[in-house]
Amino acid sequence: MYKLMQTQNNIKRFFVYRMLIISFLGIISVTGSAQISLTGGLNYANVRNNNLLENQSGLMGLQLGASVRYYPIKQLSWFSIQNEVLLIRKGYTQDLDKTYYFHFDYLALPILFNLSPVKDFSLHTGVELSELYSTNIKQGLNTYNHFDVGLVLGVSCLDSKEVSLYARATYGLLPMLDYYTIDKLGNFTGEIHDLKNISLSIGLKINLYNEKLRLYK
Amino acid sequence: MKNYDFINKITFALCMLLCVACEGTFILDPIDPRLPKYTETGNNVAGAEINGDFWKSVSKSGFMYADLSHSIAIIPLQDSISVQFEGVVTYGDVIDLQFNLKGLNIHKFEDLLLLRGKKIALDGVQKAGVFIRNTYDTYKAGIGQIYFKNASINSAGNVITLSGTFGFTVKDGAGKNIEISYGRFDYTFEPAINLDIQ
Repeated sequence: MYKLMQTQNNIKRFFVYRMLIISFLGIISVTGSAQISLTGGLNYANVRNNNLLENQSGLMGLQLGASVRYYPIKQLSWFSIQNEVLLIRKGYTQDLDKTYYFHFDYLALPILFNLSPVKDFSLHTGVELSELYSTNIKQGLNTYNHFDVGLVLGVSCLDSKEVSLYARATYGLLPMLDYYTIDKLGNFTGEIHDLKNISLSIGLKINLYNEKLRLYK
Repeated sequence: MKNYDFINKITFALCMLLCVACEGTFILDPIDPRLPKYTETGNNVAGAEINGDFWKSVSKSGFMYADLSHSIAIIPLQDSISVQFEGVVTYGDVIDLQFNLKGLNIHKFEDLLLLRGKKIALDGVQKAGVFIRNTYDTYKAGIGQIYFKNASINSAGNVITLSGTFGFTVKDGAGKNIEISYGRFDYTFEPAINLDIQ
């Protein structure tokens, strides 16, 4: 069982690192004339769960990162792909005898598809692959799962300006926690896999090289 | 030069003392952070819910002092052991939880390893949970369960780690139930420090 879990973790890691390499190769290959941006903003995070957590609420965090956008198909100038590398804080709080803060810091790699129906406005959707690298919980990296995949849906405006705005929702798909439940007497009653990230982000994008990058001639 | 050697030795000795002067490690339970997470690594903590309040037992020790908060007494002549955890509840009372267990055939230190995987029903007579408030209010004959899920010994053979769970109910002086639930512990025991064979 342990070996199976280890293999699964290795596969996940391999997947993350491969996506990292692909993302960076994408960025490196277009840096000659890329539409490269720095991004930063606020992130309201919480976790959804099957009524496990008592008096739970969300928390605000920051996100910082960089992105590159490119236009892969000549006939579809309204379509672009955006790769990002983000440091993002997720988590939640619990108000019990005091307030407990659960911070989870992720290295996230969103891969987004942008559709621009009108100038200076676009819808984006895609996936966010992320790896937990730090937490404020003692031995938290031994308690929580490291790898997460989320679905992303969002909008951005003022895309052609030097500073643009974006908002997005991320819906985590993988459980953060594998946990053995214990009943009142102390019997181990089963294993649950729960706590999934959700987050709402708003932020600014500073376009460092504000020119559409086309991958076709 | 000799003076420097002496200072280096003293510094090394103090460092070693500081290294062994470690507190219990309270890792939050990810579902209910008022309790410690169940672990089997000898974190020297325990926790439980007592009538809706939360009880914590975290060992503290340091240079020239030790408040180990947990102990075992083995009494071979009576074929019994007594396991005690000392802690505090959120409103401040000192609560000791004790388990008096007879007939387990434990007579010496190494026999504690026989507890591994043993789920022991507390009948209130031969095997009982005891609730002690502020060292004088003692309520015996607790009925419930203690489960020694893991028992392991270190490579030097002088420290045993016992980890498990417990829950029991005992009546107080007014006949009201005191319910101890969702209990878990992860403790190390060492002869002449917190393990006594009588």
